[in-house]
Amino acid sequence: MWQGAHVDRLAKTGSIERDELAAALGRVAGGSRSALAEVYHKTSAKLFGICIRILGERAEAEDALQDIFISVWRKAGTFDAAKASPITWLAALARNRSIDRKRSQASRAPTSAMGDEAIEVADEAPDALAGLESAEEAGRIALCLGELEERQNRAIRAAFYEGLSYPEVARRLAVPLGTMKSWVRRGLLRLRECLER
Amino acid sequence: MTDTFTPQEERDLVAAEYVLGLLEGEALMSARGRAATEPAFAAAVAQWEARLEPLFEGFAEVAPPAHLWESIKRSLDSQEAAGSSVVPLQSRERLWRGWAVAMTAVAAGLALVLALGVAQPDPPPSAPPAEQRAPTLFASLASEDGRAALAVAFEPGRDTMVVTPARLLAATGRDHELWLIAGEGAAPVSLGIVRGPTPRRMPVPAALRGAVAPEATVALSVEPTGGSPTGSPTGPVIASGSVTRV
Repeated sequence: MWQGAHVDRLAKTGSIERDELAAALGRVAGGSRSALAEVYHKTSAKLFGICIRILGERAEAEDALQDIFISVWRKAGTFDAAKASPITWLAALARNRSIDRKRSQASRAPTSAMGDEAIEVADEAPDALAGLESAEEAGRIALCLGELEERQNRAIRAAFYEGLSYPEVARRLAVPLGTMKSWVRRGLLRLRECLER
Repeated sequence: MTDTFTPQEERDLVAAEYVLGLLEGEALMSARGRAATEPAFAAAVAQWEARLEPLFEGFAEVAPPAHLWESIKRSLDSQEAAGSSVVPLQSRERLWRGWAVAMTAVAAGLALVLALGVAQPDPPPSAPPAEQRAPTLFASLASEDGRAALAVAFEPGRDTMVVTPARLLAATGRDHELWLIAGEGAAPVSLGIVRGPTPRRMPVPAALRGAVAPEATVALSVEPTGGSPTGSPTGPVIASGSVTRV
């Protein structure tokens, strides 16, 4: 996943760091523990931030990060520098693994309302973490998300940043599942149209 | 209020929902199968990944606790000490809700018993010690509609596989065909026709033995009786699963 050929917006410190990271991943694929330590040193704070945001709990996030770096150790050979930037590859791995973990927690817990069109009281408190997204606000996608209806914007961000599924987003925004899907789908088409404008 | 979308829009929307992580259960499994086997869908997924990639900047950095790196090193040490063939199955990553989980778990257990127990009734005297052989690899698949659920265990030599249908109901005039996709972007290659209800040992085509590895995907499509006439999936892909170590 996340291997489109595109400009690397994540390695803000530039192409040198990106090249170093890609080279380190190459050495990890060759079995170098010190290269894995280098990758950990350079990226663990970013990846841990992703785990915590999605899993919402430090202990789970620590377990997730450990799993993720064991996967990096095993899967570094599948990283293709021609197709993806290294930090995007790692961030996507961290996000996908955290979402898998979150879903499997949900499957172990009682799931009375998971599949229902349950309506709960929305949390109207301002998002305590909203400020953390400021780095992205300058981007074109932020402008395009801003053009969406507020509820569409919130739903798409909740899915991306917190790994919420359709039923979870529906409960968060206190609307029936079908309504939520309809909002999100129309929002995604508008987002695509805006990004391609 | 029902929205209607063109087929292209519908495909693009499912791709976006998949990339965002909105899908669960059977819808997620179906999307994973399509991403592995349907080039137009895979392209739509790649486009959405590229579109949404800048959002990663919005995740704040949080320093992990200092002891975590030591835990990772210890975990790698213990795995290496145990030998590469005993890497634990990362089962928690692959769990989805619903009956499909239970169905495939039943099939998995059955396939393992068959692969490990039945598979080699007369081990040749020259058989290498178990710890030196390649690990048994395993994939479980279940379709959204519940008509197909099966497990595939690839034996250590990769020349045979045990296919254990937990359920496999083909419509009249149709067969189920199993495919191996070696990795992202690779073309599906047929592993053969599978029919229920009894488990069967089947040969793995010689050309595919090297491609049977973790990161590969096994997919199931519906084809005309006797299999795809083209050598590629022609019918819908109804189920897919990743190849994992046992």
